[in-house]
Amino acid sequence: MRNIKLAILNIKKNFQNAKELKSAFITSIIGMCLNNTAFIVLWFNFGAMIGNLNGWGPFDIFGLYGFSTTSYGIVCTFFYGIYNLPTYISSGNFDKYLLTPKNILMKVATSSISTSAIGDLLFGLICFGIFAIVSEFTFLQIMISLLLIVISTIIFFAFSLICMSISFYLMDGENISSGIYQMFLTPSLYHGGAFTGVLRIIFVFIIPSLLLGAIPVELVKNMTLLNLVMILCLTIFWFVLSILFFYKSLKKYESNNFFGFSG
Amino acid sequence: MKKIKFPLTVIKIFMKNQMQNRTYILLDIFNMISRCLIVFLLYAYVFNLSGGSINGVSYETTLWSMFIYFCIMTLNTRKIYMLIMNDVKNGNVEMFINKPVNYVLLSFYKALGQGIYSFVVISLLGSIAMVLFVGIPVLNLAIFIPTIFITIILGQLLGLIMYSIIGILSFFMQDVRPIYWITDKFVMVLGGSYLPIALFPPFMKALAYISPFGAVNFASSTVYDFWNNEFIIRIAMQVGWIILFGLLLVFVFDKAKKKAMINGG
Repeated sequence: MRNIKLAILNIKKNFQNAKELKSAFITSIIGMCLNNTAFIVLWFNFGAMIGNLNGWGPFDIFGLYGFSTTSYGIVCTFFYGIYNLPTYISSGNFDKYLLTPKNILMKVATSSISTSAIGDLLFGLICFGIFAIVSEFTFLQIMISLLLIVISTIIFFAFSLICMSISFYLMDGENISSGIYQMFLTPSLYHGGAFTGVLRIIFVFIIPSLLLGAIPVELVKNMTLLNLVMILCLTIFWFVLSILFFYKSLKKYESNNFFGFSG
Repeated sequence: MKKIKFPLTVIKIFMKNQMQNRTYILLDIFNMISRCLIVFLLYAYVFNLSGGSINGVSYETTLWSMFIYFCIMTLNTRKIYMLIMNDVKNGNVEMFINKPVNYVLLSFYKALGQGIYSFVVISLLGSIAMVLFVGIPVLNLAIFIPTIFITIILGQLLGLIMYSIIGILSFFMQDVRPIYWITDKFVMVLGGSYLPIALFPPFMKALAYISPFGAVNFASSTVYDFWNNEFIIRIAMQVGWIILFGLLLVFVFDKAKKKAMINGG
């Protein structure tokens, strides 16, 4: 409970800091919304031009971006600190997180926020709203969608944490962590109808990119209990694995005696 | 001679740095394979639905066009905006401005040095894989070979200039990332990264043709039939955009230098 209180306090402090740079705060939110709009325009036109693609219609793109950008938005708005892990490790700034008697992961994760991710979050919610209205969702579908947003957020957090924790093992981990993370993120931005056969298996079970948007869209359209249970199991697996991997990797950290202070 | 030696030395130093860690190149190769696989499978389905060709363009030609685009992306020259932005934010830019080197050109060389190794390796290996698995498209080699090199060089120069301007805007703005995101998205989309040029609706075709964002990646159009009739005008447009944005870069950098002196970096 005390850890959660501290996390909320950290997030609040980060928001206050970000709001000080007012113009940057607003332009980054609007800029990110415009940036994401380009993808929607592109894939929607593509869908409208070719029609149904492996069960994916043009409006499903709104669902894809609704789920994926909302989960990205939540993780990066509140827990952007995990993306700074490679920098903290290589610069020696990680020491300050080890020296306080608080939950290390919670403290690192809430050490920073991304203001542009607020734009992603807003954009994702708008897309999801459009998707729900066009698809005429029932109450049950809305409830399942909310659960799927939580699931994709956990997957996003977990795999991002794994990517960033790799930095504990490498001399110059920043580029490598970001490379693996890009490998995870990029497929989630492509049209869901593109993934069939082996490609689908890879991006569901090995690199869980499709669990961020494509699979939730398909699940909410054609709900089956088996698929939902399977996704829940995968979420638990990735979450537990990421936490275990982070704490195991933490043992590899070597301080370079660079002292700093943190709240 | 000295003028050529300096850029080559800077590019060599940054290239060697990239070569030291083999994980970088492996990651770039894996990224390239996964991206190509996704789009190739997606468009295989689309072209099958349309009977093998769309707007008179074959599936193989489309794949080559997208492959050229992805290869150019491994050069990662857009990173220059971040190099400049970071130098401005941490104050290093003042140190570079006071040295007897042109800061913007130095940033160009750094950006090129960081991406050239991946670009060369991936382009060579990828071309071999493409020839083996996709085949060779029907091309007018007398036009294709010289123009692909010219358009890559001019396109990357234009890209470096455009992204440098965005980086230099850090002198005047708190956060230039939104401008970068939007510019980069235009460059990506109009270059044919997600949707191949053959599938562009008319308004996007026109935009890719007349805008500087499309001109950055004209190289990905070199495999299409229309290129044989349009290459002179397109190369001329690239040169025109380079002159225009080059002048804008000089102007913005001059203003920025004055700002740096006032604020102390």
